[in-house]
Amino acid sequence: MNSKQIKKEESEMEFNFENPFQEQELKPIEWLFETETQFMAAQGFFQNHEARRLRKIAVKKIRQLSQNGGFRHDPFVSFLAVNYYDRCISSYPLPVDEYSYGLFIISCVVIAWKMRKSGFYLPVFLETNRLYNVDYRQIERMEHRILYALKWRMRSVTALCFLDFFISFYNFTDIQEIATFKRQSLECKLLHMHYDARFTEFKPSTIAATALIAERPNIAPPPAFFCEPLLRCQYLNMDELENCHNLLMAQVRSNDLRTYLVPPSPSMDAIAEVEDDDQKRQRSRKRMRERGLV
Amino acid sequence: MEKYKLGKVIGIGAYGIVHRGLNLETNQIVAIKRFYTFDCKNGVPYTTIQEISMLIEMYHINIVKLLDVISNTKNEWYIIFEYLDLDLEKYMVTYLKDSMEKHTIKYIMHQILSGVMYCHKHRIMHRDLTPDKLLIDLNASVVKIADFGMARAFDFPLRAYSPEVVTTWYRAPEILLGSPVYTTAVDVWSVGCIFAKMLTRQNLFAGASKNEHLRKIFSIMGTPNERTWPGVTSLPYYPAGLPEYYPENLEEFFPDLEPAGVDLLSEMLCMNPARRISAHRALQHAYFKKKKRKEKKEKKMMILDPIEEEKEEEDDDDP
Repeated sequence: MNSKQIKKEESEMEFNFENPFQEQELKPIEWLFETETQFMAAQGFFQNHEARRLRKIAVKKIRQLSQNGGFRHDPFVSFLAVNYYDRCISSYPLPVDEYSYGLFIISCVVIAWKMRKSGFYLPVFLETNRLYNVDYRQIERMEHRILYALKWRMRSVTALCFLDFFISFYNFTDIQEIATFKRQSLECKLLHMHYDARFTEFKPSTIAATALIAERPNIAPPPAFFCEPLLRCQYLNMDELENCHNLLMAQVRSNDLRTYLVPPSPSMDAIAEVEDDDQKRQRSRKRMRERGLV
Repeated sequence: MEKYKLGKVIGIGAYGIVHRGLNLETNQIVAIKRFYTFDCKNGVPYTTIQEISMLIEMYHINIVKLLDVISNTKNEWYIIFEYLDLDLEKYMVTYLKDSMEKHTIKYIMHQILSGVMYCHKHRIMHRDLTPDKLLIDLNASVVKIADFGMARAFDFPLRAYSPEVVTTWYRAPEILLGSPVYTTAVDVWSVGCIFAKMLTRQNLFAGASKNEHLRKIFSIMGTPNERTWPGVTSLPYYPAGLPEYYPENLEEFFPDLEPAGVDLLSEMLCMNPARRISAHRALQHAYFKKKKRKEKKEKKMMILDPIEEEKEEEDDDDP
């Protein structure tokens, strides 16, 4: 049944001459759904409170380091680096001391930068991030460890890979409309879920779909408008989607989400301590007020 | 590296040197790519990370296999590939008659396109397909795509790519015209050029310079305009004042090729990359369908064989 459906989809695709890019027509999507679980953190690892606490520190540092690599900010860098962190730390023993742990986080970001930008230069990266006490040889050794631990599978399948595919289920006609829809889903929901350890239990495709169907503030169409098209997608597990959506909604209600809407400050100390949540929320609210977001 | 013996150099690229080598444990001939280390302060070179992470995802009969990754304390990196001494370029010269056979060409084309489709499905463009990058295993009758040194992943949003890729003669017009963004269609164009070369032993478009090459393409495929290729006139290197050529009939260039083959070739050499056939659709083209029918006939004949029939029945009984 499954293969029949796929075949049907392929034959339908043949008539689509509007599509400007060949690779979209080829739909590598089936392969993405097949392999996505191979790029997830080990199941259950982040149910541990301590693991979640450490991840919070790591994510904060990764986001800071991704702001500045000697290149223009690239949002994919932090996305990839967090994925490397998750996969590595949930399957292999933790670096014992705090220094190696910091080195491990920095190296995840360095590899992510190297995947994204040809011409990445480590000394510039270390200097712009004021990491004067870090030796490039130590980074290199840590890079080796990460690359071998992840078996060189650095082209992670993440939630971002699925966004365009899911958006194609909606009947948008205007390119601008698609771009806005994508940006809102990405900025409001998807990034938040990616940076929150509790969502590591969900498949990247489920996270991408949840980001699209989640309610949006100040938007007229009812939630069903966003939900309906994805119900037709044969690859999605509806129970999982509902669980993921419920978790996200619970957080929206508890107002947790807002803290993620503000980009981190570019200043960099060694390993930042996790701030008290309330303090953080107050600070971000203040910043948002300054920007006229609230 | 004790496991391998480095042999003569077989290729020099932008990021490394490729040696012929020998696995001393298994006596298998391999290709060993040694990456240049431009700056030891940069940690593991980004070229190494990008290339290996791409190759590691590929398992296909028509793509050379990555066998091993080795590094030493001096941050020198080696990738070990499977290697075959014969490539398509040499094959066409050495086995002149065999390689001109119609079914051989069809068979080879099918294999190249299968490999290319696999790459595209896995979010990779080769960007430098030429006959000497297609290795041939005569014993197993298999063609394998090699040398992903110029290949590039396209899983993230398409960005501006470096213009200087793909050996000129097999280079797609959108690259020659300086399009800042291009797609998997560049590989299909190269395969089309390889197809043409196999049929006539000559490069269909062979210009001494880039402009000469473009003029040659236009003179056969027709000068593109806004109607046939929207946006083409605003590409950076769109030549002003070129005569307006009309498309030639490709049949005249390839008199021995069956009509379906001519049709496939013209679709692969479509100037507008958005309208160029994809590797996936090319494999379903009528040119290859005839071969499939033949296979079916063979299968039917096999089923008539009583021994085979018995086997089939046994299989059916299996739960």
